[in-house]
Amino acid sequence: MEPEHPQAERFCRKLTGDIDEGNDLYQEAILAALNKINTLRDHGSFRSWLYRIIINRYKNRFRSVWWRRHTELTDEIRTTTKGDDPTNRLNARRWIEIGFTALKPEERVMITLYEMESWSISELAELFGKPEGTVKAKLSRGRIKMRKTIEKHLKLTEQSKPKREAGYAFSQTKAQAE
Amino acid sequence: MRFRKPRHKQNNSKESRQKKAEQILNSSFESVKEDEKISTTPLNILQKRIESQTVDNESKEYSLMAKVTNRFIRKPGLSIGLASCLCLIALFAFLPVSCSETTGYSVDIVEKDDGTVTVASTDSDQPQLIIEVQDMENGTVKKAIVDAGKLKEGLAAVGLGDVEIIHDFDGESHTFSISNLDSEEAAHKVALTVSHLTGMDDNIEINPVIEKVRASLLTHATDRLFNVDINAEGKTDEEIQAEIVTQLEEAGMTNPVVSFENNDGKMQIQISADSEGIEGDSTMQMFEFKFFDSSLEEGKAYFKEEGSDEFKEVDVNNLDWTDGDKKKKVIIKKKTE
Repeated sequence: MEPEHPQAERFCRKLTGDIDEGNDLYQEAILAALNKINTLRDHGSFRSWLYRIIINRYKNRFRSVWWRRHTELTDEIRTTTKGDDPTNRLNARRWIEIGFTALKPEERVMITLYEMESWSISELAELFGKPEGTVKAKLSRGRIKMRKTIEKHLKLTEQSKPKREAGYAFSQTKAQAE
Repeated sequence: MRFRKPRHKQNNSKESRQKKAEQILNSSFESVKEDEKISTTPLNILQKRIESQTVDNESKEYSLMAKVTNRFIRKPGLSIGLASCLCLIALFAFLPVSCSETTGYSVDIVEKDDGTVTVASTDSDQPQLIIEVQDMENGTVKKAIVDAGKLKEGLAAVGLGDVEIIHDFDGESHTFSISNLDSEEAAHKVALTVSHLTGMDDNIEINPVIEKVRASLLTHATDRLFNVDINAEGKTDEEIQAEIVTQLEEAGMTNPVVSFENNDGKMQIQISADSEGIEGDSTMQMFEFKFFDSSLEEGKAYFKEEGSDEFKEVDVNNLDWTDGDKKKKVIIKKKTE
């Protein structure tokens, strides 16, 4: 358990986009894993077994708190971030959360493991029990969906910005002159 | 006035947005990937938390009721689904809906427009039915006078004591109605009695009394079922056959004919009945049930359409039996002890 603990906990936090929620998910998964430890036959595959439990728990949570899917951002991100700079950690989380709104739980897991946890395609294929080609295709589709959602968000932000700022300034100076 | 951007500029902004989104995505992934600053929970703390949570859960799930409640709290979707199902069941079972239904039959003695049959009455309180039938070709007139009291006595003698005799005169013609008849069979009996007393049958009509009934969907559904429960244990084929006929008659089916065959351990029941449809459209419909002696579960039902010699296989649990203007289902169950 010890070698997997830090990575698995971080994965939960990244997946949920919230430290507290990630910790909860991790704790819940560990509890479930301890109850099911007798079902683990091959101790060499502990990692993928643990991650599968985490993923299943995450899917269950995703289903059970279905209304949360409609809340775009977690409170932590919503209240502390503004601006587009993705190098800022919370901004980066914000953009990922925006992109995640278009993804299904399984796609979120795949993207998190591949893009943020540096898992290889073959590791993912083993974890999900799917051919590597399928995993690649799913990852690519997931990325496209995320990118399109971010694009939409950018467009909305552009539209909501005040237009013709120069014209507005001109009319103000003209009024002042008069 | 609004100006649109030229197309090449629109494309440019779209492309630049695409590029920007791609960049944001890549940088965000990189930024989160490198984010290892927040320390992980030490294992011993995690262990303590899990232990306390286990104790909490055990105490919470101590009783069965608490277990169930916890399940529902954890899965609100399940509770919502279950609540919706319960609401639907409650609606199905209790919410009254209007539905046209044959609530009984009436026998009407009516005048004919061509004047061949005239119906009259002397007194509306103590109606005396006077029927005149003119034979136009021979120029003869048959006249019958029936006292309502006597008619009631006659009907009571054949077991129909609760009938109502209503006389109505709308200024042009008289109508006599004998109503409050439960079944079509009772209506036939009344018609026969009236015909016997008056010696005429041209002017006697049997009409179903169709009323809007407010009842739950469940009641409507169960009203339309013929249920035949047969206990075949220790009974001969003839006895089973007689029991089916009795039960179908009790359920309101008109003149059911049941033929029963037992071939090599397989029973075949054929049920047919007069289905006197609307406006005298009399058709014979056949249902044939084939099933093994021990169980009806393997049973198949066959339906023969009017004017066809071919039996078509139908679902044994979903048979529509046309009885007058009603559609009814026939369900035959066999009890095994």
